Amino acid sequence: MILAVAVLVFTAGEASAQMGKREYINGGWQYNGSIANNFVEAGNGYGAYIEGGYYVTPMFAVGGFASFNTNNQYVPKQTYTFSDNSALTTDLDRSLYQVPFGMTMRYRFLRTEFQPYVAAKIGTEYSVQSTYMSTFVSRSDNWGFYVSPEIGLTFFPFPATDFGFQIAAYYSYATNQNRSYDIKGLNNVGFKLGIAF
Amino acid sequence: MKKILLISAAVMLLAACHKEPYPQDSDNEYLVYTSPGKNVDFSQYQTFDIADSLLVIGQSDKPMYSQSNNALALIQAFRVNMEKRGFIYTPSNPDADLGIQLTYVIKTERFVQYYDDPYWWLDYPGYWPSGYWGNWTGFYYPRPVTYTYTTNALLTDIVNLTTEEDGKPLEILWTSYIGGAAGSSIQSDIKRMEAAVDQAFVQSPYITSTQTK
Repeated sequence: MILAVAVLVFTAGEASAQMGKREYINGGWQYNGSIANNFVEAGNGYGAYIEGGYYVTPMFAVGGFASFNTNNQYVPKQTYTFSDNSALTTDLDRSLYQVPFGMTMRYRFLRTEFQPYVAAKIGTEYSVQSTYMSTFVSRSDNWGFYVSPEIGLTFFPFPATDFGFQIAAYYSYATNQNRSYDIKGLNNVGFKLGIAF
Repeated sequence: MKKILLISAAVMLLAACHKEPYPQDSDNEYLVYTSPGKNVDFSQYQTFDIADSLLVIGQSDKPMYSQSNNALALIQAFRVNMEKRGFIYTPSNPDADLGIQLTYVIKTERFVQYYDDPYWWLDYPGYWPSGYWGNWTGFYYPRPVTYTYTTNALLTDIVNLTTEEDGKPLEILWTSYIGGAAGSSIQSDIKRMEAAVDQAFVQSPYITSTQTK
């Protein structure tokens, strides 16, 4: 993928509509994998994002973002034994819902129809952890501080318009904690595909 | 300003987009929860009696007692497991050490579908084709659609009859909850509940009389 991006960058021509435009809006679908936690470690495509910004210099932009994703994991039937000798046997679904939003900073390397960029997002994350057991659901929510580095590319194939496409990959970390599920921070990796204006 | 409004609207939209797990992921077995009383020692008990009827709540306006074949099957499932653990069944004996009472609860939930696209099945492959009734372009429901689903549960208490005193509640030594979504037939539900009763004893190894030691 890095090679493909490099080829696109070095063969790209000038794009007219995007050259003088200082603001941008991107949005689309994202596939998220929640990793390195004891609650849900799964990859799912139940997510979307939107972000926008303003180029305060020709290459550097600041703006805002919001996204959401759900990661679900099925846990087959098990017996859970508790300290008072009570016991629970059931299968269950765990669901991790995350909604980060905040500020984004973006640096693009080119002002051509292919615009590779790096970005950093800082903000807050609202998260809900749910466990579905039979006809019951146990749910708790929490807030945390959120950071996310990102690398991506916006591509504007129609020089006369502002319309283009975006592809990006990211890592994110949020400080959300949940003692019931032994969650001490939420780590994610993922990619996103969207449209760009 | 327009962008701020757009982003604000998007955040609110995102917050409503939690993807719930699919119910069909479930193994369709009942949840089984068991809980003993504090410091209970079953080895000091030898005999038990079990109510000859199942208390049924939710099937009619008032609770009722049932001795149907289904009710008796559940009662028998508990009796068999207790005997396997060394307890002696002493029906209608006022001197029995333990008493077992079973309660069956059936509950129907009703809700109205409020989602933006409630009639997703209209687009389901194989659903009534639009040309079936003539040259129409599709279907719509001009009214909200109400769904129902039914749950059932079996609650069981083992009570201590050795300390029975007039006017005082019986001490509950052990309780179990077996529950989940109701199946397509009561017969299949009873089969699943019988298996769940076995599981309730498997996860309660401390229910053992001295007879087995």
